[in-house]
Amino acid sequence: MAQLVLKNAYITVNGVTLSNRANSVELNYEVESVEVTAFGGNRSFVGGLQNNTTTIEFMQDFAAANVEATIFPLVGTQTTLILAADGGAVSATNPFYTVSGTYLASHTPVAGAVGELAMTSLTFTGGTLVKTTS
Amino acid sequence: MTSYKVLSNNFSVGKQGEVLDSALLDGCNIEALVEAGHLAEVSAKVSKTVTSEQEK
Repeated sequence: MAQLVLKNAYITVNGVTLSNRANSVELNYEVESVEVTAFGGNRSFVGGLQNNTTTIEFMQDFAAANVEATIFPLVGTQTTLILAADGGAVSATNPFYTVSGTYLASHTPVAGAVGELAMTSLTFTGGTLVKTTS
Repeated sequence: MTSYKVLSNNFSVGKQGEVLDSALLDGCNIEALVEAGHLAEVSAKVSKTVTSEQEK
């Protein structure tokens, strides 16, 4: 596969498909490094806990069962995200990433300057990431 | 097991109008989905209990 331009990223939040209301998504998969350096050696690390972060920029929509209605009750709770670079079928070249038990601490229902598009930027932290290719 | 009817057309687990068992919603925050208007709990039908004369 050559270069990929994100045109049709797939985003579900708590099982709700909100791809058509987002214009930016970033999943940061991280495993904390735990130092195990001992005397006589150089710096050495082993993998610790997953410390995942997902940031999604949503265009605000107050319609029934849309962005605001879906996000507001999730603040202060854990939920599941499913993300993919493309909304087509899951495959080896289009893996889906499921982050379960990820926490949403805050949400900005009203944000933006005069003349700007109303947006809400969400950051989900923690949880367990699983990659699916079939 | 509690069942939920899908009310919205953007819920990926089931189609609008479909009734789902809570087991299918594993990993979802059901309370938030109900509050958001995506799901509605389906009440269990209560069957009428007929009390016979002998039981009275």
